[in-house]
Amino acid sequence: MDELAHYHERDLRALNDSQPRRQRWGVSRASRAAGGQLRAYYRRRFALIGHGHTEAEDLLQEALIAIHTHRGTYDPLQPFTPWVYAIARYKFLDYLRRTKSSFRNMPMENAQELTARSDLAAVESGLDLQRLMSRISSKARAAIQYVKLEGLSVSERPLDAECRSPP
Amino acid sequence: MNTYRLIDILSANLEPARHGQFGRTLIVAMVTGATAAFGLMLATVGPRPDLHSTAHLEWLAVKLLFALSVIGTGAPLLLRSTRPGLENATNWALVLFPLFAAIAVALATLLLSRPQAWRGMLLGANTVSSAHCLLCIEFFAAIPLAALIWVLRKGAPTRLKLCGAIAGIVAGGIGAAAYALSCMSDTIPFIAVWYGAAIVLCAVIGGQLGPRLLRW
Repeated sequence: MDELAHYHERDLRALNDSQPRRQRWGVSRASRAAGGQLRAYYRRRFALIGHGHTEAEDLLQEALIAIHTHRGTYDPLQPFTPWVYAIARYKFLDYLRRTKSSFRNMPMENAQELTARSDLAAVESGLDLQRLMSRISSKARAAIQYVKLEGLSVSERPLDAECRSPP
Repeated sequence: MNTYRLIDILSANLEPARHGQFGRTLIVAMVTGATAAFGLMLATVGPRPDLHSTAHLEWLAVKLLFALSVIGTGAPLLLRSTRPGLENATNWALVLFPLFAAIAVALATLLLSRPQAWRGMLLGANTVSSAHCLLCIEFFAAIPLAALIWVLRKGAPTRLKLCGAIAGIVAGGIGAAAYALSCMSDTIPFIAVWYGAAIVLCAVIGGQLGPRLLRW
């Protein structure tokens, strides 16, 4: 990422170059590098709202045109990447506003995919807990069971529990 | 169209970017707007008749100082708000400083004077002064606000509401400066409350117009 940013800085310096040939080269390089980064940026976000790669590519082109036409707003004393991403982010938010889409109207089939989480860790820690609980005395196990796992307070725990609170 | 082809087309015919251009255009818009606002003031309500006496000139200086400090703190932020990547660094304490300073001085003035005089100090020279002040400042600020929005569209504001609100503050400051020549009410509390309210109203209007008019 940092390396890419350095590329941009150097290419952007060529933007202000007096020689048109070097300048064109710099712009082309900078735009290609920015294009690659922004494509990943847009594809990620479009996957989140359930839109396809085609729309992402359209918006990428729109953003590149915006970067090109508004290149006068770039201050050469400032870093380049935040400027590019601020424009990209603005274009994405503008797209959301324009198409009135949001995370709410995501197609159901995608929703399942996106909200799916690996519960392997939860299962594993549950098994570990069972194994550890089997090692301790039944009194301590009951106390931990009621107060820590079921979330009862000391006074709420069943009276027939094997452990007694200290007097 | 293929994206790489688009990049080639974009970088084929390239003129060097002119970096200071936008700031200069913004200043031109502010000067044009101010000229229009003063012209409008002269054509409608006109300057107050007793403006030439020294005491009134001092009050005019106080009012202009307030209006110009609002413009002075707002304009650099307006320029920043059109620069992607810099727009989040809006220092609201700085933008609102002239307003808070005026309110603080107004409170001090009120506390130092008799409570019987408060009504006159807050409501100004006559009963319609406050409404007159609000309406005139909004009216005079309309052209500067339109000019600013027209120029800001050439920039790249990414937070449209914020950018519109700051444009409203600057335009309100210009409107207040124009109205200062005509204003008959010479008290600090009046300036703080009614000039302040008019500028805040301009900011609200600008903030509402921003998302509609500043899209690019």
